[in-house]
Amino acid sequence: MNVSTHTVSVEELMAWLDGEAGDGQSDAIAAHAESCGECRQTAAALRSVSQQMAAWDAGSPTPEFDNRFERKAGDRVGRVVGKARMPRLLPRTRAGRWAAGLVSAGLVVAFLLRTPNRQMKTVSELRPDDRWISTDRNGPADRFSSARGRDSVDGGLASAGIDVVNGLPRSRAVGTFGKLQAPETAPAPAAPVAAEEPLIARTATLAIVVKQFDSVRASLDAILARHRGYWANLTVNTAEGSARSLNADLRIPAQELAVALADLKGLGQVQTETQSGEEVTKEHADLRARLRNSRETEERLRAILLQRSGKIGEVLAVEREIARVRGEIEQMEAEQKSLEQRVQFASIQLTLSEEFKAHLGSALPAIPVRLRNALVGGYRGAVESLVGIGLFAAGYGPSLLLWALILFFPVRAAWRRWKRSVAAA
Amino acid sequence: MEHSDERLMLEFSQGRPEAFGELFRRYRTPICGFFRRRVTDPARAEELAQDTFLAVVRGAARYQPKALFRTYLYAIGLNILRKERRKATIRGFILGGQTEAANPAARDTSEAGLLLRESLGKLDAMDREVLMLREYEQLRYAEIADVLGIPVNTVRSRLFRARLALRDLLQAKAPQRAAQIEART
Repeated sequence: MNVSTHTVSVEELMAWLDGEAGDGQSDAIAAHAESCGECRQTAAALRSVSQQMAAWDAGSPTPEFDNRFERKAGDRVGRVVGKARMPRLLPRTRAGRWAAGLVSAGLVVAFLLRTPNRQMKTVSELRPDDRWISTDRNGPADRFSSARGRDSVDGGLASAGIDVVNGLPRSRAVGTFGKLQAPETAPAPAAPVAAEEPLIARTATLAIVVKQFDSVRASLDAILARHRGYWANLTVNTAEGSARSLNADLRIPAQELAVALADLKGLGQVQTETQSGEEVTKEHADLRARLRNSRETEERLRAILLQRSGKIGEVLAVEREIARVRGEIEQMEAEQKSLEQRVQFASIQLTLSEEFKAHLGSALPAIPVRLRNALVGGYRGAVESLVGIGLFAAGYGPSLLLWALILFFPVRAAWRRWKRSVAAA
Repeated sequence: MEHSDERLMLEFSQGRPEAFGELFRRYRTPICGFFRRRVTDPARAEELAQDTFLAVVRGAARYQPKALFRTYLYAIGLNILRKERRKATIRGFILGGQTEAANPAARDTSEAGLLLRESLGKLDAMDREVLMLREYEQLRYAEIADVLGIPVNTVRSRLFRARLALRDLLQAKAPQRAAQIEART
């Protein structure tokens, strides 16, 4: 077993040679270096290295060095005093600069992700199990379980003098939920669409925050009646503990769109508004031409059937052809009607949200129930995460593996080249 | 009586250009040597030395005598050298081939000291910098620690390691070099 007899370390010995030993240590190190043969050898080796290094003389600057520096510096040397010190905008340390950069990036991201209409976000994030009120007269009865929602909304309609059937004005309470249903009072396509005029299908989106949500639907119906419009779809959400909201897909005669929008904006504070138009002139003209051709074909076939006699097989073939052309004509007529409907009636996607005021009185579920729900939710989340990972691996794994194989060798070559460059520097 | 570097720098920052002249006279040779030992091209080394003094002039208004002037000066020089090496590395990576700011030992073919330069070039980069700052710029351990931003104990251990490694390299290469010279003659 070797036991070290050195009272000073080799680094202390080196520091002593460099004149870096502490005052109290110098004498002790000198005495040890004098008595210890091994340390004497180490000291000699260190001195030898220093001597060999000293042989490398870098020389003096060239005679032009001073002149070139003077030219480079110009009059900067004489202008140092009185130079206003600029306030330091960036932190001095690297960590500070990183922190400032991260904060700036965070602010930019926050600004970009800022949602202009919090109420709209609330509506979009509603869960399916929230209590819903719908205008579906054929829907299950338990959908109308929220007495507050239905009574208040229907009450509002009644107060506006509109006859209500299951949440809809009587004149419009036909059809099923979500299906486009033209009102009886809606204007018939009075003037046929002129082929020469450009045909524009107009759409608008409006998000409004209202203070008095209870009376808003009555006001909405009044606006629709005034402009001879109707709704194609209406959903009211009255989820507990959050702002109530109403989503409606309205149809307004195109010529009334601007006025109707102005009236709707009067319901509350506008959060977002967009308008757009799609020109369908060419599509409409094409459809009309195809329809005309098909009708002419149908007429010719009927004439053939009436004027000529032949075998029974030939007569049946003509009849089948007539039936086929008739089917095409009916399909195109439906398309034409739908297109003209889009042009005559502008579509407004309306979202009305209530200004949310939290109530203290609302009863919270018991803690065990909440705990159980949280556990169930957590379990489901964990299972879904595992399933998601599995699905991801199954869906993308082969592609990722393929790309890894393709990219492995080029990336490795680039990495080695980079490492060589760094090592050479 | 000769003023200290720090005093001269303070006077320069307060508007006395002669003080900078004195500092320039004192450090022009050491700074040129600093770059000549680290950059292959001597002309480029002088340009970098001029850039170092120029940075001192530009930063004079913000100068505060927190550390020794020469520590401040070599820290600037080292930053300029790092930028130069970074540029050379990127240039070498993109264009391929040898980097321009590589160790001077790689290109210097003069016989005198070639063995030493080659051996220095084989040391770890940080160990080599510590050793060169100590041997050529004669900086104290604490000053090297300030310039490189590492603890003093690390400076001490790296310096010792670098010296022993250099000794081993020199001892190993000396017979080879002697044989080469003999074969040439």
